[in-house]
Amino acid sequence: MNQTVIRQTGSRLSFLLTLLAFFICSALSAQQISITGKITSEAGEPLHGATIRVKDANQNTLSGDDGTFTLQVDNANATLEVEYVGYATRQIELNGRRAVTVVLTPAGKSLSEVVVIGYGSVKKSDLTGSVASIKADDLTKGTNVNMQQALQGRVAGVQIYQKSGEPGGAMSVQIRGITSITGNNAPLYVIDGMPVNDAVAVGSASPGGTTSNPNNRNPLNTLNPSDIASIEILKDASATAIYGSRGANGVVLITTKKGSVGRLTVDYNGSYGRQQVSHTQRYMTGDEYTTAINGIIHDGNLNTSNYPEVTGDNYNTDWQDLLFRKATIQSHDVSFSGGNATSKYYVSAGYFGQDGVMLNSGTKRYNVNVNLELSVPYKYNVGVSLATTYIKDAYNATGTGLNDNGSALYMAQNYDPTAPAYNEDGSYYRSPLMAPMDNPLAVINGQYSTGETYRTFGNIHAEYFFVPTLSAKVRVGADINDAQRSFWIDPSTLTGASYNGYADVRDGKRGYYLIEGTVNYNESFGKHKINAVAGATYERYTSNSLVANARSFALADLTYYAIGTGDQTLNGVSNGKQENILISYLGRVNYSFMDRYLLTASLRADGSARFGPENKYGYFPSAALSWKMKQENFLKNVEAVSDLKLRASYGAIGNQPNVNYLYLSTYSAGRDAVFNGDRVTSISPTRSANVFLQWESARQTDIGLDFSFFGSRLSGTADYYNRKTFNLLYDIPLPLSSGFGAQTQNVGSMRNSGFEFALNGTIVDQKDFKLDAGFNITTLKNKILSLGGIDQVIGSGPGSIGDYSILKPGESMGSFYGYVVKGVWQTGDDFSKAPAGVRPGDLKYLDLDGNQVIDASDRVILGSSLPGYYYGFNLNASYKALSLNVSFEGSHGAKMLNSALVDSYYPVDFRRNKLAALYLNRWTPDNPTNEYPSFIPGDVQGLKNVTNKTVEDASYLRLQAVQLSYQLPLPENKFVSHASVFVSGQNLFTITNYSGSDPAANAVGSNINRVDYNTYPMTRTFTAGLNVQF
Amino acid sequence: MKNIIKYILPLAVLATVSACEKPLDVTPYSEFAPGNVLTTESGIKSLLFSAYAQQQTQQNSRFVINDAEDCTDMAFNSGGAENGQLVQIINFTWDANLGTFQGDVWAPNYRCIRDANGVIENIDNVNTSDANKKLFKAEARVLRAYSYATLYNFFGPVPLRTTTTQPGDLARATDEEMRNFIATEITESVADLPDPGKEQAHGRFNKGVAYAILAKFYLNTKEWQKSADACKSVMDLNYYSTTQYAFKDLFRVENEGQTNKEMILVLPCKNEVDFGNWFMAGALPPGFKSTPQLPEFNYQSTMSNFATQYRLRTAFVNTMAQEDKRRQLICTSYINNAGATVDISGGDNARSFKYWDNATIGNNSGNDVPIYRYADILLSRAEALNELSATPPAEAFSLINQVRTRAGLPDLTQANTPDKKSFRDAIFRERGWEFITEGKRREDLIRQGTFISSAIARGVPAAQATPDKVLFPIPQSEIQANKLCEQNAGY
Repeated sequence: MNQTVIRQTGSRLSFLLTLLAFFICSALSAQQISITGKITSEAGEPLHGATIRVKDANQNTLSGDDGTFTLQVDNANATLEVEYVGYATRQIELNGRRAVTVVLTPAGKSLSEVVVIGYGSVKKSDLTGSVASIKADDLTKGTNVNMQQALQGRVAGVQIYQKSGEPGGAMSVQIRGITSITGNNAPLYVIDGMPVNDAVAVGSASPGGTTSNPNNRNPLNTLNPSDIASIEILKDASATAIYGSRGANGVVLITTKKGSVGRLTVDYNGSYGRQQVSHTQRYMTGDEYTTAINGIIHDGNLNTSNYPEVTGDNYNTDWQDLLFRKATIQSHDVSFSGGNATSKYYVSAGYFGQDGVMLNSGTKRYNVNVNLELSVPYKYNVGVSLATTYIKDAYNATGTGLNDNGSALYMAQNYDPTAPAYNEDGSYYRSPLMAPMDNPLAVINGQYSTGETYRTFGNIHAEYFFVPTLSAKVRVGADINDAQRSFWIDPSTLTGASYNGYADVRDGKRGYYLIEGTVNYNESFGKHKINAVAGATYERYTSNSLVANARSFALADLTYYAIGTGDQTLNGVSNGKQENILISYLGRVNYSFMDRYLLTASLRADGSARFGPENKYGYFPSAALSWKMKQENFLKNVEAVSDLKLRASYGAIGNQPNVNYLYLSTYSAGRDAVFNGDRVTSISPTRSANVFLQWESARQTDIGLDFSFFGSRLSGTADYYNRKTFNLLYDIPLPLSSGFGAQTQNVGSMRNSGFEFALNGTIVDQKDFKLDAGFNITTLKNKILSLGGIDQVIGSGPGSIGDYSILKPGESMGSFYGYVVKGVWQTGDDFSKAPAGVRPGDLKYLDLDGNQVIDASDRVILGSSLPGYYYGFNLNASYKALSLNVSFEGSHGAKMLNSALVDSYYPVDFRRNKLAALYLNRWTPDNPTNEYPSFIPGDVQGLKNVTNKTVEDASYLRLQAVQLSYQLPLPENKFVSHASVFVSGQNLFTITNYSGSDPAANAVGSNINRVDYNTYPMTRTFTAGLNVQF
Repeated sequence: MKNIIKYILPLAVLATVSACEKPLDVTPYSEFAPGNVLTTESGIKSLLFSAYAQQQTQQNSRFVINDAEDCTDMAFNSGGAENGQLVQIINFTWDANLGTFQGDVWAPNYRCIRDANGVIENIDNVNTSDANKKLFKAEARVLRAYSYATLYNFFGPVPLRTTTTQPGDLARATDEEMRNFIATEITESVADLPDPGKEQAHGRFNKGVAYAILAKFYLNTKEWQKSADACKSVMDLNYYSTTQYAFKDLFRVENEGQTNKEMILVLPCKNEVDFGNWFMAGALPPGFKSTPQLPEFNYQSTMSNFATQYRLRTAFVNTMAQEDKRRQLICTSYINNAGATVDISGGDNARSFKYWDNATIGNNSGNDVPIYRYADILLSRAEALNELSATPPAEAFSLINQVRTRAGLPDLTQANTPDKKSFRDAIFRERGWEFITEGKRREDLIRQGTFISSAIARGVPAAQATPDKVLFPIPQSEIQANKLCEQNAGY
C-alpha cells in the first residue's frame, strides 16, 4: 500500500468527519487574545497532538507536527491545561503571557491512568472501590481464542477456566465465588458502555436423541480480542452497585480501541499455529483388554452366555486416536486508526479460524468493528461504536449422554479395542456386544451440526456540555443476535438408520435495545471536588425461536438443507417468543476533600418485568470511603512510599432470575396424549407461579489497601471481601404431589468471603534489560447460611450418575455427596460385618450407621467444586529487542467428579473398555490391593457412582502461556513504524494429581458442581505470528 | 443551532426518563391465559388430555414393570446403568431415595391428578353442552381415581389432593379415606362414561375401564364381594373376549386399538421418541440376532439392545408346562451375531419377548403396555369368588379355564383342585404365567401373603426383606418438601 494513498484516505475521512462536526455545532465565536506556544518532551522533542484547553472555558486546540499551537483566550490570566497521552497533565497560568513553552514529563506508571467505571471514568488514584484495570498490553500474549482466556490468572478475585477444548466453547468466569444457586453466576459484561445480552440465541439441544451438550457457545465469541483496549473488572459493591440488579457477580467493562490523534496508523497482526490434544486418557489396548476381561471372567467363574469372552482377531484399535487430529488455528487482524483535533476513528477487520482437535469441529469468525468519535473537549462529544460479526461453527457429537446418546468420544473410550474400525467392504464395523453404542467413527462423521451466527452490537452516543462542568449524554444501542443451528443424523449411523435420516433446524433471535440518558456534573470549590452522575435507562430484551425437524428422507443427500423432503407426516415444529424489560434510575456522587478523603455514594433503582406487580423494583445503594494516606504530611516526604491508599466500601447489589414470567400463572403446550394410535396435543399449567418473587440481593463489604513503593517499582493491592447474598433465588423443590417439581422462590442466604492480594514489581530496570513480575492470589470461602427452612437438597448429575450433590446450610456450594470407599474386602476379612452377599475383591464402603447395608444413609460430603484459593503469576523480561512473557495459573482445593472413573468402577456394561490403570491393577487373590476392586460383576452393593474414588482433587498449576517476541530492527523508514515476530505456546504443562481429561474441565452447564464427563479434550497450542504497524 | 443542540439533548434525556414511565408489563406471547383455557370447551378438553398424557407413561413403563417384578420370584436384572437401581429392588435394599419411585410413579400420577383437578374444579364454568360437562368431569374423576389407586398400590395412603389450591404441606389421608375416595369417585362417575367402543377416541375412558379399575382396586384391598361384582359389571358389558386372538398375537402392534377385545386399558405406545415401549431393548440378550422360537421376529441392527439385561428367573419359567402357549413369548435359546446358538434357559437368564415389534426404531417399540386385560378380570372374579366360598364354586372354574384354554392348558376341575387353598394356589400360578412383564407380580404376591416369605426363600436376608417392605417408601423429595407427609414405617 502506498503511503500517499493512506494519507489521502486519512485526510478525506477527517474532512468528512469535520464536515459532520460542522453541522452538529456551529463555528465558535471570535475571541480576543491570541496565545502561541510549543509543547515538548523533557528531551526537547516536539509533541504532536497534545490537547491544550482553557480551564473553565470552551476554547481548545491541538499542537501541530512541530509541537506548536495557537489559541484564542478571553482572559489574559487564564489557566491552560495541557494533556498528552502517556504524559502527566499540566496546568499553566498565563499571567498575561502571550507565548509559552510547556515541557511535559512522562506520567508516573499507574497513578495517572484513567480507569473506566460504570457510567463514567476516574483517575486511578481517585478510585474508592475495588477495581482491577488491565490494558491490552497486559493481557496474556499469544493466540487467545476469546477475551476471557487472555485474562486467565491475571486478576485477583477472578477465576476463569475453559470448560473444554471445544472451539468456541464456553468459559467459566466467577468473580469472588458463587452468588446464586439458580440465578446467574456470570459477571455482567459491558462493552463501550453497553451491557452485553449474554443469553444464547440457540441453546443446547439433543435432537433425535443425540448427545446433549449443556455447555453453550461463549456469548463473547463475537468480540475480537485484538479490538480490546482495556478491561476493567469491578469487584466490590461500591463499584458494581451502579449496575444494580446485574452487579452481584461483578462487572467486566470492556473498552474497545479508539483512534488517537495523529496520522493514519495501520496495524496488522497475524498468527498461525497448531494444536494437539494435551492429555489423552489411557484406556486399555486390545491386548490388555483381552487379558483383563477374560481374566475377570475366569476369576469370577462367570456365565459366558451373559459375559462373553474376548475371542477372535485383535485389531488393537485406538479409537480415541482415530477421532483426534492435529489442527490449525490462525488469526488475521487489520486496523486503521487515527484522528485530529475533533475526530478520531478506529476501523478494524478480523478473521479467526480454529479447527478442532476432534474431527468435524471448529469455528470461524469474521468481524468488523468501527469506532468513530467527534469531540470538542468540554463542548460536545458524538460517537458511534459498532461491531458486526459472522461466526460459523461446526460441532461434532459432544456432550453428556449415555450409550447411544453418548458422544463420539464416550463411545471411543468405551468401545471394544479388539474390534476393527471398518469392515472389509469399507463400512463401519459394529461389534454386537457394544450395542447400543455405535461405531465411534460413524458417530463423529454422521452426527453433527453446524451453526451460523450473525451478531451486530453497537451504540451511538452524544454528549453536550452546557458549561464545562455540566453535561448531558444520551446513548442508544442495540445488540441483535441471529443464529441458526442445523443438526443432521446420517443414515450411516445406527440412530440415523432407525430414522432413515433425521434433520433438525433451530433458529433463534435475541434482541436487546437500550436507551440511556445521563447528566454529569464536575465541580471544584477550593478543597472540595464533586463529580456526580444521574440518569435513567430503558432496556428491552426479546427472544424468538423456531424449531423444525424432519425424518425418513427418501434420499438423504441434502441433509438439513432440504427438510421438506422428509416424510411430512413425521415432521415436528415448535416456536416461542418472549420479552423482558428493565427500567432503571441511577445516581452517583464522588466527593473529594483536600484530595485526601474521598467519598462515593451511589444508588440504582431497577424495575424488572420478571417480577410481579408488587415487587418489580429493587433498590441498590452503596457507599465507599477512601483515604489517600500518601497525601498526608506524615507520608508526603517519605520517599520510599510512592502511594498508599486505604479503601472501605459497603453496598447492596442484586440478581434477577434467568427466566421470564415466573410470577405468571399460565398454560402452555403439554405432553401429547395418544388416542386411536395418534398423538393429540394437550395444554397444561406452565409452571407453579410465584407472585411474591422478588430480587435476590447481595450485601458486600470490602476493605482494601492500594500501595506503591520505590517510585512505583513495587505496587499492589490487598482486599478483604465479604459478600452475603439474601433472598436467594432458588428453584425450591415442591412436594411433587402438587403436580409441580419446583417453584422459583427467594429463600435463604449464603456468604462468600476471602482475601485478594496482587503484587507487581519491576525487578530489573536497566537500559537493555528489564524484568517485571506479577503475582496474585485469592482465597475463597463459601458457606450456605440458610435454605429457608429446608434441611438439605440432593441434586442429580448428568448421564446416569444419579445423586451427586448436596445443598446444606453450613456447607459450601458445589459440595459432592456420596460414599466413602475404605478399601477392598480381602480374603481373610470378617465377613460377618459385611453387607450380605459381599465377596472378597468387592469394594469396602464406610457403613456409617453400621446396619450392614450400604444405602443412602451412608453418604457423606466429599468436598466442593469451589477452590480454597486460586492464583496466577507472570513474568515479563526484555533484553534489547527480545522479550519473553510467561504466565502461570493455578487453583487449589477444588474437587471434580470424573465420569471416566465412574464408568470404569461402575461399568454400564462389563464388555466395554475401561481405564487401563484400574483394570491392569485390579484386585485378585494374588494381588490383594486395597486400591482397586476385582471388577467381577455382581457386587450386591450396586452402582455407588459418587465416591471418594470418583470425586477427585482437581488442584493444578499450569504453564498457561509463553511468548517470545523479537522486535525487528527497521531501517530509517517512515513506512513501517514497528514490526515484531513472535512464537508462543499455550497450555504447555500442568502439574496435577487429577486423573481425568483436565482439572479445569467442566462438561455440565452449571459451574456449581463440576463434572468431567466426556470432556472435549483440552489442547496444547503453538503459534507463530507477526505484528506490523505502518 | 447551538441552542437547538442545547435543548435537544436534555429533551432526549427526558424522553428516556418518560419512556421509563411505561409500565413494566410484558406479554407471554407463547403462553395461554388461564381464563381462555379454563372456560372454553377446547381449552378444558386440552387440559383433560394433559391428564391422560401424564397417565400414559409409555417410556417409563419398563421401570414400573421391573419395580413390580424384580422384587419377586418372576424376574431378574443385571448389567447396565438401570441395574444400579434394580439391584436394590432385587435385594430389598431400596430406600426413599431410589429415583424410580419418584420419577416413574409418584410424579406422573400426581401430574395427572393436578390436571384432573383443574378440569373438575372449572368444568361448571366452561361454555359447552351439559353432556360434555358430564363426560369430561366423569373422565377426570376416574383418571384421578386411577392415579390414586396406582399410588395406593405402591405407597399405601397418600396425600389426597382434590383441588389445585390445597397448600403444599398436606398430610396423608387415612386408609379408610383413601379407599372410600377411590371407590366413590369411580362409582359416581361410571354412569356418565360411554360403553366400551363408544368412546370418542380409543384410549379415552369408558365404563369398562372404570369397572376394571374398581375391580382390581377392590381385589387388592380384599373386598372380595365388591371386586367380584365389579368384575361382573365388566363381563356384563358383553364387549370383551378371550377368544379373539391366540395368546402370542395379543400384544402385536397390528392387533392394537379398538378392535382388540382383550385389552381394557393400555398405555398406548408408538415407535417414536418419548412414546415408545423400551422393554424389548432390555430383554434382548447380548449379541442377539434371531431365535428359532419366534421366527416372525426379524431383528435389525437399528433396534437397540441395551447393556442392561431384563431376565426371567429359571425357577419361575420352569413352573410353566411345556405345552403352555405362553412359553412362545419366552426366549430360552437364541442365535447370536457370530452365528452360535446360545442356551439361556438356565441361570435366571430367559427373556420375555412379549413386546417384540419388527418396526422398532432404536429404543422405541410400538407395543402397548396392558394395564387391564379381560383375562385379569376373569381371574380376579375367580379369585374373589373362591375367597367368598368355602370351596371353589363352579363359576370360578369356568373363569380360570377360559384363560387356560387360550394358553393350551387342560381345564382345572373339582378333582384336581378340590379346595379353597389349592384353587387359590392355582389362581396365583395362573396369574404369574399369564401376566409376565405386565407388572402385576408384586401385588399378587402381597395379596397372597408371600411377597416377603418368597424373597427370604430366594436368599434375601431377613434383615433386608422386612415386613415393612410390603409398601414402597414415600419418595424422599416429598418427605422433605411436604412437612406434613409422614414416611411409611420401616424407612
